[in-house]
Amino acid sequence: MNSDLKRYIGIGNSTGLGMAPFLINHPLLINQWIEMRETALATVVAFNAAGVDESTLKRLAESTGRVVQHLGEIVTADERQHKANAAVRKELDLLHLWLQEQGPKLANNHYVWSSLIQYAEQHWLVETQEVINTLLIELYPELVDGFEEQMWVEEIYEVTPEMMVVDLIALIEEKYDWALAIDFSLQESRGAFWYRSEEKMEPRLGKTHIDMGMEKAMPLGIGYRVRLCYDQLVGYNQSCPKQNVAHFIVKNPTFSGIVARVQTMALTYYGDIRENLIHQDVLPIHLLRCKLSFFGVSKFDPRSRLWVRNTMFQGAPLISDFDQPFKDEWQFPIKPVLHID
Amino acid sequence: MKVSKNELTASLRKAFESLGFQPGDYYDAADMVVWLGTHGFDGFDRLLSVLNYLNTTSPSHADLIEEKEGNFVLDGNETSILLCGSEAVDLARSYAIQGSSARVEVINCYNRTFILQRLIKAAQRDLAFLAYWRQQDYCIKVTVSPRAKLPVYQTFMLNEQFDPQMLRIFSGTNVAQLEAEYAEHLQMGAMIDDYPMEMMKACYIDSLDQGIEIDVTLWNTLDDLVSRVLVQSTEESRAGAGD
Repeated sequence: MNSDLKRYIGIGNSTGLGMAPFLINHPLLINQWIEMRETALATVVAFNAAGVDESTLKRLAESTGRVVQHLGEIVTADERQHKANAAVRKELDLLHLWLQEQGPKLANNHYVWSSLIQYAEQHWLVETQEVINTLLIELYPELVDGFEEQMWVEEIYEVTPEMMVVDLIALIEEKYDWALAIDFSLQESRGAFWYRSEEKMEPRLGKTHIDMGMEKAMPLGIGYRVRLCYDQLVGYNQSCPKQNVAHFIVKNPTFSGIVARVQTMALTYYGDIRENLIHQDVLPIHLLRCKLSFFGVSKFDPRSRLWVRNTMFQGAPLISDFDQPFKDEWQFPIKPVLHID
Repeated sequence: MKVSKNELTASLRKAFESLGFQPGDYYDAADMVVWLGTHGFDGFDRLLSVLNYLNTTSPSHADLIEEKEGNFVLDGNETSILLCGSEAVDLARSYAIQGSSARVEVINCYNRTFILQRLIKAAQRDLAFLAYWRQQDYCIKVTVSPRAKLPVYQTFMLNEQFDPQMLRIFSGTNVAQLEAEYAEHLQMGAMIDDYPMEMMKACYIDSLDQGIEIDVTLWNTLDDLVSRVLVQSTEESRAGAGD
């Protein structure tokens, strides 16, 4: 088989709900992954604070053109994904044309990446913004490759027992305002539950009060657990003012897990998924895509709201490419053009 | 049979969950068991004996029955340290972290050796811990220096008779200060055994390198417990997996 074609085949994959509990149960690890990506982006932006040179702008124009073609080659029957791909493609096409036309002028005017990021944030879709961020990071392997050695973190979730209850209440109001904003008295807000099936222990989503297994639900509704803990803290603080968290936990031991999580995650920027994961219309597919994207997965083809087909390692070097000259620009791969002699 | 640390921890968490432990409790309990099991303290034999008890009772926690200027008494209500150890240690360090020494006495509690992992973890916040309890006709004394990864674990002759189901924990800025401040509580007989840290460390490294040796019967018991958190699969439930 032609080598370009071999590289293009990649590895097909289907991913279901199994990854979602992992994301929720390892917030410190997820925080580390996202923090490294953000740090890589910040490093790239800072490196070019005095202006981007013309050749780098040209490379961005080329890679943007490649993404436009890549998105156009994705086949999916999912209407939402198809529309999203088309919308991102349209916006990136504008960027591509602009870079081609204005590249030399931008370089002369000391154009900086922060201006591009700001423009994208103000005018384009989040998905377009993230493609641009990825492309910027990929332009500077010498600046960012070291971050992949910092993706691990020791996950220790620990209670800070000396914290005053009133301070923990304030912490939840500040860091978990998204959870407190959810009205859990509404039926739909607790319309789903997560459980493990006896079939391969795979995680599944059940409908509250309809499907079997509610009593064995996994505690993945972090927002709801925070809400319950907050209400308990407020009540406790009214009856026993000026107490610390250790005393609260002695009186309310079943809250120790969520207290440890809140106090630990409050020291981080990312990690906790700020969404109600037990809402009847929860879309786990977004969680799956987030995790898969860290593995370089692309060509997402949602088959339902619960699982997604995708492609891994498309464009990656073959074993025969090792130790050979290889253009290391295989993100957003495009169909090879074969020349038959 | 051999299992990995990750595999064992995941299985233990689910097993404790099936016994009614809450999130937080089942994380802590699994960590306590794994620590003892990987440092040469017969953690799995101890677990097997406690599982029989946990399997027949609902999880219960300790009650704070006395508190005065850094001295706390918790009634363990006949429960296991797996369920009340974290509360006891957190209570001690909530006080000690402010620069004063603290004493926590837990009465009516069982499986006290499991407290080791909680003391080591708490010591990482620059606190010293000292704990002792009666084990049959001997007294076990554990000392953990600030930020130490391993404890000093010694067995002494009993100098005086004391409650066989009590655990005393002391916390402060350093071990010498604790020994001096609480000298009246630490009058023990002759030391008869000292489990060297080198052996704990060697045991731990071997567990990571070679896998953790676990009895098949215990592993099957854990599997049976884990099966309790699983939900029967039906055609309808498969829709919940996206099929």
